[in-house]
Amino acid sequence: MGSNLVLILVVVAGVAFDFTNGFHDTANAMATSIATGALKPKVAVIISACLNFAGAFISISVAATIAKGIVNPAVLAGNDGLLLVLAALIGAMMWNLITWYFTIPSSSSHALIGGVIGATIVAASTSAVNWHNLVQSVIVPALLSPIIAGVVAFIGVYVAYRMIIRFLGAKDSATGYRIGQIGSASLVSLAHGTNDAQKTMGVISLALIANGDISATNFSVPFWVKLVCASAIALGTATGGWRIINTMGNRITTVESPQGFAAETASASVILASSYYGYPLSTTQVVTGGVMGSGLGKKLASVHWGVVGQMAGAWVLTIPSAAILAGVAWEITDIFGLHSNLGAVIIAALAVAGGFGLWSLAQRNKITAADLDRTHVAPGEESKVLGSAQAQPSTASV
Amino acid sequence: MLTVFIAAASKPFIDWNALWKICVAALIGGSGVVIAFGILLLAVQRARGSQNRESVRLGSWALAGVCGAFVIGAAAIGIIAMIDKPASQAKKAHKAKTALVLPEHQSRLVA
Repeated sequence: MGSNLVLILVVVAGVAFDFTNGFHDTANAMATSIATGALKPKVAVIISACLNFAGAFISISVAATIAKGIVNPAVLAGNDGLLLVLAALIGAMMWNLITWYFTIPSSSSHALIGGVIGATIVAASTSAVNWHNLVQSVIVPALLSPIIAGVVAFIGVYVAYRMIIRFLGAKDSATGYRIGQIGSASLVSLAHGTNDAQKTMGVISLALIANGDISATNFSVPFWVKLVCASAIALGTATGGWRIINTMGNRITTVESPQGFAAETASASVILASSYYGYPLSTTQVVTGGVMGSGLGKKLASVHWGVVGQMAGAWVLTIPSAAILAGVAWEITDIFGLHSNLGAVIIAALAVAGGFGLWSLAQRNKITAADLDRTHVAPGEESKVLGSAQAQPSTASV
Repeated sequence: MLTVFIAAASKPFIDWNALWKICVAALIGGSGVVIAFGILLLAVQRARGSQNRESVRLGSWALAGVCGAFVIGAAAIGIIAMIDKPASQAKKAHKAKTALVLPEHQSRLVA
């Protein structure tokens, strides 16, 4: 019964993490489409939610292999393993909520990896972490992928503006590329669903294996896990993380529809190509690179480097911060004894309280879907409007 | 000299063979689609222009068709790559080795 309680807490925390992942990462796919007026904000997040849901089911990849090859598998076994996973999920979720409160797009994947590493170090030791694989599989791709996406978007925008759009005219190009953006944003959403929903499926499956509910030798993700995770990420996405959408779509650079299209296609192509060759990436970092590249491709001075600096700082801090939060969560469970389960209940309660606290604080400076709606802006006039009207926190939710 | 040194030093961490393929695929799928879509829009505009000669209009429609096929093809390849990853096939064939608790059988992180 004891471990069943921890298992239930792990499943609930996993679903909650998936929900935060959804609203945290809606911006990845839809921010530029919303910023250019290609889609109404609420329509955009509903499309993204449906595609995230579908994406969670279409990939045949065996669920997400968070921490695969990064931590010693022995520490993930039994009741202690369940507690470790719970601490990791709570650390990752809290970091997601903190960055959401500060309107900073950060990687949910890295938060989860950081959580697992932090809990592992505290529970076992630093030798239980495979640092070489961490650098090879996480750090290096995190450094390279935004640069590649940025260069690809830069080239696309540079050539398009200098060789095509000048002959096409601002109005026709904006109208055409707005239509294109619906397709490109949808592709990013689908890719996000195939990668991110599976992470939590993997974590919950891991917990089920650790608890002896499913076999490690005939491993397959139970259908109910797929359904619950797909629903959680889709619901989170549909909630619309307006705070981060505002940062991604309006505060990095002033995006016109050709730039938005370029940022999305660059991001989708980098994510899919990397995934194909076995290097799935953080969609947040890739899309941010794409948006920056698209800003530089049109006009060198149009990227707001202060905002980019804040985001880069958050990226650097994500793994260590989530690790610290998860380590603290593990230590709290340790105070009460690893077999009492009281610690697990307490860290879950603290996470709920912390989440509610951040949500309450965010209500003071809300950003609404209405604040971000640009569909009334005439094609070709986006930069005039966007340059002077970044959404300021005013009146709404998430 | 510096490039050679960087390449040698990073070899344990970077699979250069995969990296250049990713860069080329991203360039074709990212920059290529943006440019092709722009040409498509331009061609449609020219094809619709009433003052253009019939041959120009036909040629523009043809160009628009080629560019449209490229854009749709790139999107289709993207979706296929998403569904049918080689890594996924390998995992499917070795289901017993893919559980999270047995990471020593895999070397890549999927996150």
